[in-house]
Amino acid sequence: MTTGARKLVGSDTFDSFGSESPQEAPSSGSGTKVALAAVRWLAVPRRWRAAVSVAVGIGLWQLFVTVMHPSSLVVVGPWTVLQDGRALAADGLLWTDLRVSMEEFGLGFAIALVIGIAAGARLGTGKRLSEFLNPWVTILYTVPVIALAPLLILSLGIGMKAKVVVVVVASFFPLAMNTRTGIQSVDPGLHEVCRAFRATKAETFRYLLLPGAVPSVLTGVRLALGRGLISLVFADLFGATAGLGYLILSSEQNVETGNVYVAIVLLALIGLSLSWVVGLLERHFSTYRAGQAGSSA
Amino acid sequence: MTSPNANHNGAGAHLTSEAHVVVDVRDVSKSFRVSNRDVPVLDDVSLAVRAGEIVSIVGPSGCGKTTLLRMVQGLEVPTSGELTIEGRKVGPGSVSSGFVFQQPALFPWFSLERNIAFGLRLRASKQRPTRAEEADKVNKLLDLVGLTGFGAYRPHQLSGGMRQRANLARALAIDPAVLLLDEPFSALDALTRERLQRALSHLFASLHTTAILVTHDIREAVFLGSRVILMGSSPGRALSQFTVDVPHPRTEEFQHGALLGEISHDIYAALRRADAGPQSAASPLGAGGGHDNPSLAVRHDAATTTEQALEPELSGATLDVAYARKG
Repeated sequence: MTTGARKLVGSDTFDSFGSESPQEAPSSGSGTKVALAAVRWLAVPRRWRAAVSVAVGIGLWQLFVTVMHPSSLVVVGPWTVLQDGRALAADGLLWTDLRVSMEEFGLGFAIALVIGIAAGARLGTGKRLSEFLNPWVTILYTVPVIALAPLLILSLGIGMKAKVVVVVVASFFPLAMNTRTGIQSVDPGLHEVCRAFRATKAETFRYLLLPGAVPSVLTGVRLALGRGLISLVFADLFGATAGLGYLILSSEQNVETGNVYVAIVLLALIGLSLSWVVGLLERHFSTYRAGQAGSSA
Repeated sequence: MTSPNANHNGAGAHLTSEAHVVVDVRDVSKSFRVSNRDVPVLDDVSLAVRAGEIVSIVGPSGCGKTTLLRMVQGLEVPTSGELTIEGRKVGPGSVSSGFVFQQPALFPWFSLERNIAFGLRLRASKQRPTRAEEADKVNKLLDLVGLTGFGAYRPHQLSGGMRQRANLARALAIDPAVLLLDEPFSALDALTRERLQRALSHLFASLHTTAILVTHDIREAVFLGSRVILMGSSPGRALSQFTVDVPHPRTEEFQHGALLGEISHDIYAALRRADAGPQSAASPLGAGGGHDNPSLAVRHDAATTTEQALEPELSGATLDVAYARKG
């Protein structure tokens, strides 16, 4: 209760402060004018701040290209990216690459989600097993598994199979580690409740560990999405016949810098939308955290 | 007031000697292993709680009062001795005591209703009620603890006092033979604490509850207990006991009155004497030591010198002071 209330109060005062202060000081010099502009800028309604930030970033990008004229081999402006993107989409090539990448990623991530969370749950509940396997999880989490991508492609071919495996391997560890952490960090007071009421292991898992681990699992999902996507593109660079990474590679080889940027922007959009979905889930489950903080306060 | 056994002044004492023993703690000792050394926490404690009794246990921190309560719930296993509730040994399997935790410890992802029904839904509670019976029961409990209309709320939407009420309702939901309360109001502000103490007294009266209350608040122990047991530390043992012969529901008048102050004062004095050492603690024991049926007895077989010095005074009997409501 307290956490939520405090958060609300905080944002209210901040917003009203930002929108009121320009009216309070209307007659000032040019120095304060800049300050006023900054205050107005911060006074953008909360829900638009992210969009405004991105729009301004793209604007600055275009401004840089238009004014500085950097080598078009290295940097192209957002306007060119848009034009090239349209052309690629019209060819149908863009959609093929996007579809292939999304299939590889979707399948790989789905597999990683299942086995990663299952493995994490097992590690989180089995103390002895966890003690034996902890060093391995840590080692494999820190080691750049991506380095194995070329070898996987050598053995599994340049098709879908190797890419799926790369995504699974890259996404597995963040998922497993965060699920394990989530289960192990469940409020010990609630463990006591389960023991006091003689809940069985299965009941404890269902009513306590699983829901208790959700916030941490979602953190794992967020990390795994990023890692999986990057690894997929990286794997494409070592041998592929289609995919966004392949688009980047072939465009670079053909000196079509605009198309490289098209693929990168597309990947950014995919990352943004997946992250947005995770954000929605996190907000949906946020009461879990608020409640936990409240019960231990 | 509503209890047929506690209508008359003095009937409480009658009740304690007649009613059957619900909780039987027999020669229980407990030690914890701390860095390869056994540290005794409780030394040979016996306690019988009869039906309808509210036994308050007070003592300085580290006297093992919470450990004792946790052993009655089965959350801790005694090193030696035996604990039974309604004749059944405390242990894994079914549970016949309801535990009210110091922190509300409600599941943040469940509504209050779902939290209160927690014990009912578990397979461990053998007669699992139907959904309709469960809803009915939960509603009654919500009314009982003063949370009518809050069933659908999540714990984080409620105040600390309300959460503690839900914690109480959850313990009551399984119809426990005994209610175990572990410093239930210590995390609340003073006003809420006093209000909840009175609410609890009303609840004791209407449900004829048998309960053990562990607290470090002597006034709370006196206000709620029909019997107050004072424990001493290192290792934990019972020092003396005080009978508070005032029927539940106890009033605000009693809560702030002279009698409660007087009893609390005596308990403080006994605690001070215990702190001062065995010599000064020995003197009052002769006066009240003649209780013929002590339901709490303490023996000391341990070998340290101070404990041996204590042995003759404490063996087999405890200081027992009875209070009755005046007027």
